[in-house]
Amino acid sequence: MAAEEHLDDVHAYLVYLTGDRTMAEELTAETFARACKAWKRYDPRRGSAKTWLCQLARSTALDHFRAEKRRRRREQTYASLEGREVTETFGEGLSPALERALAGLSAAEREVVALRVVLELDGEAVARLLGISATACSTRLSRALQKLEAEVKNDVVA
Amino acid sequence: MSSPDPRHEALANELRAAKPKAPAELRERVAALEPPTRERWSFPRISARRVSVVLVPACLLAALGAALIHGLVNSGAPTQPAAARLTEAHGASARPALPGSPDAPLGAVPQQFKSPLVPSSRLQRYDVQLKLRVGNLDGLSNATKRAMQATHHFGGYVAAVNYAAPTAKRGGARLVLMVPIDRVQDALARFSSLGTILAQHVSIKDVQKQVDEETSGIAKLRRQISGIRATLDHGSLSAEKRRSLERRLASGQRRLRALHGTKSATVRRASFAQIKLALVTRKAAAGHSGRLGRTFRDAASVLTREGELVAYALIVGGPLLLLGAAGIAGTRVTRRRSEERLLSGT
Repeated sequence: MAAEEHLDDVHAYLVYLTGDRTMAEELTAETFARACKAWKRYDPRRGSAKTWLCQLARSTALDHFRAEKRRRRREQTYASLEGREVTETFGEGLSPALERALAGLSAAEREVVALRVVLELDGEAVARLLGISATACSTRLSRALQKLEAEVKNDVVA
Repeated sequence: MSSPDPRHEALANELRAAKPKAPAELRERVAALEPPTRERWSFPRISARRVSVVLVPACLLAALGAALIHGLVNSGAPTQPAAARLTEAHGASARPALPGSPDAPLGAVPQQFKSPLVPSSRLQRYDVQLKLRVGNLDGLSNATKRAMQATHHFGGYVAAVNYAAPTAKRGGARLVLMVPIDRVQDALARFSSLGTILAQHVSIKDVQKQVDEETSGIAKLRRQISGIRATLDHGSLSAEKRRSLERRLASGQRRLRALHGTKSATVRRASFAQIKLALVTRKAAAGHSGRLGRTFRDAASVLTREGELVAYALIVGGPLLLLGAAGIAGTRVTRRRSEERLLSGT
């Protein structure tokens, strides 16, 4: 399957989106399982395989978030993300300051960073994938990077 | 690809260099997935834009083709029944026509006026429109004169004549002829012999009820007037009461005169049939003579009908389509916002 070439990309995107390596691995496997079933629906004229897989990964992750939200609401237990030990979540060799800064971003901000910077997709494809305008996508990326820069600087100063 | 803002280049480079790699276990899991099966055969997926690019011209061509075929099929020589079809008939009585007078002094009758006019004991208002084609300007002049003579011959009168010959070859005449109702069948038989019938229109309106109402109104008013006169003749009335009754008497008499006038006019009008006779030369009626012209006219009528149907469909379906589109757009916006909220809170 040609889509397997993009395994690292999909995995990296989901790591950024979820901020959780274990969850990202599960969702990556789920995404590829869905891709195998839906492969006949992929139309190369409408975008690259990488973009299509990222879209599928996003949809898988959103389904997971919704289910998780419902489960949490039922159980009335909220797992606190505060005080989590900083590990190498977003990549091997990232500075702890940058790791912390990435963890401090929202999923929406992290995903635009993943798609535009890490996976190096073009602005229009990302805007289409996220369902927003190219300008909104560019603004979101710019703000996310500014936040990261600021957080890293603060962390170094502290 | 570099990040959009060069100020963040170092940050972007660090993020790219540290891109998370899928672990070996995940690679094995994905590799173990069943490979995607290709469908044996299915209809090629065609985008809506491509469909519209093909479908819209195809529909237009089909509409045009249908109109032209209809025009060609229906453009044979105009037959008398088609040309002389009855387009409208109002009123109570509408039975088969009586033949025209056999001793017509204006020549043989080549075609009969198929009208629903029948003698009736009720008062009815007849309006007939008749369009005839004559050979040339001489024929037009001759037919106009003969129509006027025939009208006088039947005891009627010519209400209006409009004769026009703008060129040396073509022209037309419009006559408004009033013919006594008992001679209208004979008159129409004569008029139809003056040329080829292109169109006819008969309208019959029953006015008996109207006349009856006017008659009963007159009788009622007469009784009222008689009553007022009897009261006035009594003599034992105050001056004020007398003036009031005299005013009512004068008013009643005015209304009586007006009602008499209205009734007389209704009866007079019902005793004559109004025949609007249009005579045209062969050139002026060219639209009726050429096969090509008829083809185009029929095709145009079909196209007009198709246009009406499309307009109707748009008027009826347009709001529904708009509602549907608004619903889809609303659902998308709601879903996108819910996703944004979900991701912002994660």
